[in-house]
Amino acid sequence: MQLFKMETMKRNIKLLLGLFFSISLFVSCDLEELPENVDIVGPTSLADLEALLNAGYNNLGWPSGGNAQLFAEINGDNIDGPEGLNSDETEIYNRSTAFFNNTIRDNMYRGFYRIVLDANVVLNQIENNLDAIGVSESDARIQEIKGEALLLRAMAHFEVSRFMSHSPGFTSDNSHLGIQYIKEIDNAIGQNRGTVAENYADLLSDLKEAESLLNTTNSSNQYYASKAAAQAYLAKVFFQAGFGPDIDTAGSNYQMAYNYADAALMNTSAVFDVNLYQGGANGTERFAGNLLDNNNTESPNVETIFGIISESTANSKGGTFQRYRTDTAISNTTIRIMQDLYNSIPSTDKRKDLLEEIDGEYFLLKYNKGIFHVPLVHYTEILLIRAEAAAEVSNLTQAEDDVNSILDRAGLSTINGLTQAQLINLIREQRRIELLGEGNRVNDLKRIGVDENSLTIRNAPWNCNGILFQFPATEVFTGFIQNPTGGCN
Amino acid sequence: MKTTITSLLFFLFCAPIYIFGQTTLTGTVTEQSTSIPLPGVNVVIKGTAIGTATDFDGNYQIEVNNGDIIVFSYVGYQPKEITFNGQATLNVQLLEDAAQLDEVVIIGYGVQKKSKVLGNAVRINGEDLKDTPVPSLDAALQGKAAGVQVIQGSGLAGSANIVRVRGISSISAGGDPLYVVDGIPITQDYFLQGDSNGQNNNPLASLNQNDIESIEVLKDAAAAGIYGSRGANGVILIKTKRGKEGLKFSYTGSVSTSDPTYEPQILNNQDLLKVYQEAWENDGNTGLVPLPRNISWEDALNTNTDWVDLVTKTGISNRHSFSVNYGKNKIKTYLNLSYDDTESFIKNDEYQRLSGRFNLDYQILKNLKVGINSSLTKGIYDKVNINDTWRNAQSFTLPFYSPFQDNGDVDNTFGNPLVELRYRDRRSEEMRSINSIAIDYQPIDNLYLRGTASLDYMDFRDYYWQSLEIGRISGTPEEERNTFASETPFFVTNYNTNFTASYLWDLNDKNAFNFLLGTEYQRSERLLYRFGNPEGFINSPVPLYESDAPDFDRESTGNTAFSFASYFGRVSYSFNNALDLMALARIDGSSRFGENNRYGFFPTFSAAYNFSNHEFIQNSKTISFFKIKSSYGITGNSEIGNDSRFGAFSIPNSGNLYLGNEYKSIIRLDNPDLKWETAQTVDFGIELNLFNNRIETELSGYYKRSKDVLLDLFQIPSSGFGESLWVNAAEIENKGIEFNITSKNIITDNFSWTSNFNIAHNANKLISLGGVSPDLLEGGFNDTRVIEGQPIGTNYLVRFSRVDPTDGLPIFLDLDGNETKTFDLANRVSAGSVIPDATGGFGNKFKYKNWGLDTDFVFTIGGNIYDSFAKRALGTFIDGDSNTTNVRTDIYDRWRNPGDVTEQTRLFYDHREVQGLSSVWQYNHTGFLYDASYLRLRNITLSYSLPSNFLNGTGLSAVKLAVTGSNLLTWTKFPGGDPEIARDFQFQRDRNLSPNVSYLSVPQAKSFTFNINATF
Repeated sequence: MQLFKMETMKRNIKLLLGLFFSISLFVSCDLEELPENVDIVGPTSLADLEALLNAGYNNLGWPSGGNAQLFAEINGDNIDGPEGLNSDETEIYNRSTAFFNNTIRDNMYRGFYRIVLDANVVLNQIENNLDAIGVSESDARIQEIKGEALLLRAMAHFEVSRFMSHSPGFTSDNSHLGIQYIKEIDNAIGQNRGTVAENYADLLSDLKEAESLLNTTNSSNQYYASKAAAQAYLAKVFFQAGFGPDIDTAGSNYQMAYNYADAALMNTSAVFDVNLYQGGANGTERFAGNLLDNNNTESPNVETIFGIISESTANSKGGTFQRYRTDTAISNTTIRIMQDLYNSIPSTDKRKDLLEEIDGEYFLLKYNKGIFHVPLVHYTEILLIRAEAAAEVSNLTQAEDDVNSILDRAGLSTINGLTQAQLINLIREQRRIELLGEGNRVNDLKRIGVDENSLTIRNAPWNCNGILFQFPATEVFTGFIQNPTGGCN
Repeated sequence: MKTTITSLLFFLFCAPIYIFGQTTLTGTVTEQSTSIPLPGVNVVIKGTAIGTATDFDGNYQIEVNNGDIIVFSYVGYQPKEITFNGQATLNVQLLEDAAQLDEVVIIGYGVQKKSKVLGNAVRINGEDLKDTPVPSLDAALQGKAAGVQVIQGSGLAGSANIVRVRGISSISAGGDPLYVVDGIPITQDYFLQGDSNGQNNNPLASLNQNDIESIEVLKDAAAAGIYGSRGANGVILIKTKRGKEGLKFSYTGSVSTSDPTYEPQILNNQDLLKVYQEAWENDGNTGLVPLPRNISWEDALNTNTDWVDLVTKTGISNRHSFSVNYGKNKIKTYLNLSYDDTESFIKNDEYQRLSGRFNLDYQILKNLKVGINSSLTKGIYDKVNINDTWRNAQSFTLPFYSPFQDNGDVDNTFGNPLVELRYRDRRSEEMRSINSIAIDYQPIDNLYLRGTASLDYMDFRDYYWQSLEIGRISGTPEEERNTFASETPFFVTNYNTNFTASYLWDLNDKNAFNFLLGTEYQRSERLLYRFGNPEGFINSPVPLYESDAPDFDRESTGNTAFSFASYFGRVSYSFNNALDLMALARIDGSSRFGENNRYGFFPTFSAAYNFSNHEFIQNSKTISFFKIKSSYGITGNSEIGNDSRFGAFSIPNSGNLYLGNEYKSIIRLDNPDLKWETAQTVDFGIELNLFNNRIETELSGYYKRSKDVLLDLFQIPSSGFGESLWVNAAEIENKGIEFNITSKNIITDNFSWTSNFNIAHNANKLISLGGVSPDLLEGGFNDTRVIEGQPIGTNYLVRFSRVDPTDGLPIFLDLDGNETKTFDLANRVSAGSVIPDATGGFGNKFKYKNWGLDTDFVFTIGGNIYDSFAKRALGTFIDGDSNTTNVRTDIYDRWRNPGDVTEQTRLFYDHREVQGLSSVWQYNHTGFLYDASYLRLRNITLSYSLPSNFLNGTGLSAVKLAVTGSNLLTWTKFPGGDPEIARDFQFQRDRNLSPNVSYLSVPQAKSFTFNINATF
């Protein structure tokens, strides 16, 4: 108090202002409020880097835990709509996804690019931040992680590409528009679409590098990506390129598909599951596991070359497949199967047990359970690729052998001596039945249409505009070329 | 001049009582017309600083000398001067004054005489806060302040209002004004619980309106500029009551009813079945239309459930508030204890609030005073999901659905509102305490120091629970039934300290300066938790707020905080009581701003000239006051996410593993440039008072240009980033004109009549979106867009032309304006705007002896309402099962036969009958766009004060009874419900862009309130 009893007012004011500003300094903090619920530092150990990669694996469950498979089926000719479909799905079924906000489509698209980002973050860290992580680039685990990231990046792009662009061969030089193949983490303003030729070149480059970097069995956990997984995807990519121009100078598309399918089946620890349609106590299921009780006791099916693992109710995958379920109440969102498909399967075929007629409607029983593992590439699929590719390159013996394994397991009589065309048709039929509900059919039809120009998919030309998904409106910046609409109805 | 300042200081610092006279004079001051005692009247000896104030009974006591002139002055009354010449007692009656120019108003960090105010501010006094069952006191601003648009939330007990000062100048960042209670910027988060249950959080719910002394709205830069980076959307200063001289108890109680202003006009079972059948046959089908959920026609004809009736009721609310005022010598306190129970017209929707307040002023020394404000509120909001009740009842649950299964259980195979009402329990509990301590010290003459420290603490918990009965009635096996009990807590701690020093320097008679320097620091921290188990719920036999047993695992998800450090200064200069100049500046630093933009500088300049002393005004019989004023200033908006500037990776959640390993992913990249939105405002105003200040008018115009407007952009999907990114990109222009007039039409001893009217026009335009695709602002429920060159919140729709009389099909317009029957989203144009041409209000107050009658009207002219549910409710697409809805009775006016010229199209069973329409939800067109104009009688209040002679001997000093009717009358062209629409929003952008988009929105409450106010 003494302070303010000085004689001159000026003096007083000066002192007061001095005091005032000292208080000001006292309150002026550095204003750094570091968030605690996020990590602003980034990876500092190999474990951190593995956690970033693991996000990519985990995020597979978002688009590929049933969504992509279901939407592809709705787009094809296996599903009988619009009964059983919600409004967004009906848009897909009607091949009219121009609705500016088709939430499910956009979410799936986003999901795939999320995996691309996760993979790119890992690659970016390997390129720029290994010092902080404390591992050298030559480290074997780093090389394997790089291979895993490249595989994830290619897988996600491949799936998007099949929804957003016509199959290779739609144009004679694959100059038709594909998707944006994203390799950088900073893509804030978007990127223009590449051609399908460019996309497939990128896919091959990523997958081949992944093949070379990956181990026969993943060193961290057998269910992470292996060399065979990369080879299986290479087979799928070449197979999809099918009747289009050759995408690799090393051989024709089908020859390459054959080679990689063969290599994958050789390298993988997965085996052909003879018990698959056995039923009863010894029967197995491709979508194995029933984890509702939070028990992670059942292993993925032995055919799984690479897939999504559902460990517990807390991190369950494959939820969208439940839309097929008939063991809970059948509702207006239960997926219906086409009658002609049901009728085309002879009653002696064990796989018909996976279908059921209820009041004149047809349902798929394959997914009648809670939570399960989701194989993304499995032995049967690659076997069928090998069979069809073999037939296409006139290796009829191999084709026959492979399709006979399939027929035999289904309880059907095996074949021999079919012509190439008969064999191909048979394999395609088997492919449709074997992979029903797994999202393959429409991509097969888009591939085959290149060869059979008169092919239709639910009465629409195989190459009509509407069969392509629209890019989310949010993707369309000025100059971005959206897919054309219409032409399918 | 000197006296003016002296009296100003009395208001400022509750002037200490100087005692050095010889004679003690006592007396009572009353109001002339009613003889009601006037508390708080200033009694000052002219030419000195000696004075006192009357207590609650109007009594005063003052030491005087013979010949002293005693001045009695009171806000709103004509002052009286009486010379003391030995009277023993001196009772005085004051007459209400036409002019209130010397009213003292709060400005940022201080107070000022109204005549000296340079900025544009509007004041609402506590007594004008009508006692209606509106839980949010900002509702009182509606129609009262030109340029302040208040859209009342809804009739729900916990709903939040939307307040927009001078248009919308933000897109993604919060557009709400800054709320400052007793000098503290309070925690203000509308999205604490997202849009849960169809409504947003109301940050003002914990403020008790009985505690409010006044609310001040600072509109322009001159007024709000001192709040710098947070002033761009205006500032609302709320002042709570403080103790006055004397001892006084006061009780206010009220009881209210609440009913919806709009009863949904929907079909009963018979009519709906006819509509379904007609649609079926229109599509070329024969036979009876199959009914949804495989209901038989026989059952349908025999079932007519009034779903709306099942979910609504007449809400009864009551409020009790008891306060104590005590003031003697150095101590003045105000204490309040209140309990409210507000029920809305929706069943199970109820807000209970218990609140206490303690305000204390203690004059330690004659130049040192300490003030304490403390409040504690507990709010319990029992709520329902509006989608499951109000909305479903008039849409997805059809009248021919029965609420019950055959075995008497509630039917849960559709969106049955009874499931929500009976078996789910939603509640939020809020414990909030706002406390502050202020020290005022006057070390030397004319220098005032003030230091304030405050703490605003909120403990907010959201609860959800559902009964196992839901599992049972749904046929879930017993072992799989869950109660999904959850508790989501938030703890928000908001500290604020500020120091100001102001110095009044009267250079001479003509030149006066007022300096202010200040610094402020604020830090707000929010603690977030979730359940320790990954499922996010546990099973509990009772809701967790009732459960005392299980110590369920709670896991911190980290804290999020922001801080502001600010320095500010203000210099005012007054010349000859006519010219006023002011310059102010604030420097704001915030933890929210990126590294490259740590501190912002926000200056404001303003000038005013008062012609009142000029001869032509002095001589004028008409004009009594004339002032022009203008200001230019830069303000900001800093409502950015706390952590938005940081590049970040997620932190692995324990228990969330993939293949036994943790996973973490990138969330966003760094944005070191992130900063505030900058608004530059030019303001011009004229104040003109006529007829001895009986008519006061103010006309103002403004131009506001906002740059670096924040966009919370969804990153382009192929970027892979799930989280949106905040960028400073857009530019927005607002310009407007505001006018208000108050008039004291009649003032006599027994009768008075005053009127007020205000109107404001705002034109708003998005200048630039900074090259960003408007679709990247996707998401939310908003059906509006931002389009360059158009107002913020443009309805982007296909144009509907007419109904084809030959076939009843809709005809649209394509982009070139040609008619087409094909519905194509490519033909969308900006067709309307949610922003009105003008908003305003008018009111009248009549007083006759002890009777009072107040009416308040509010109105909106122009702008559009888009009825987003009309595509179902009027579109009449039956579409089979999942989307089937009831329809409105408006469809009676539909096309039925060739040649019918109608407003409504034919009925459709299948939406594909409309060419090009691939989903009903796409069917957004201008046929459902309406004129948003309305006029509403917001309040009408009849009050009666018991005469004082009647109360003699009862111990009561005043009793006032009042009946208020709210929202009794509304004139509107909107057929789809209440024209005042604030639907549930998902985030700030929705609040900015889509206020007038209706989706079965909950209407306002129509209510009657009986209120009693007694003091003793």
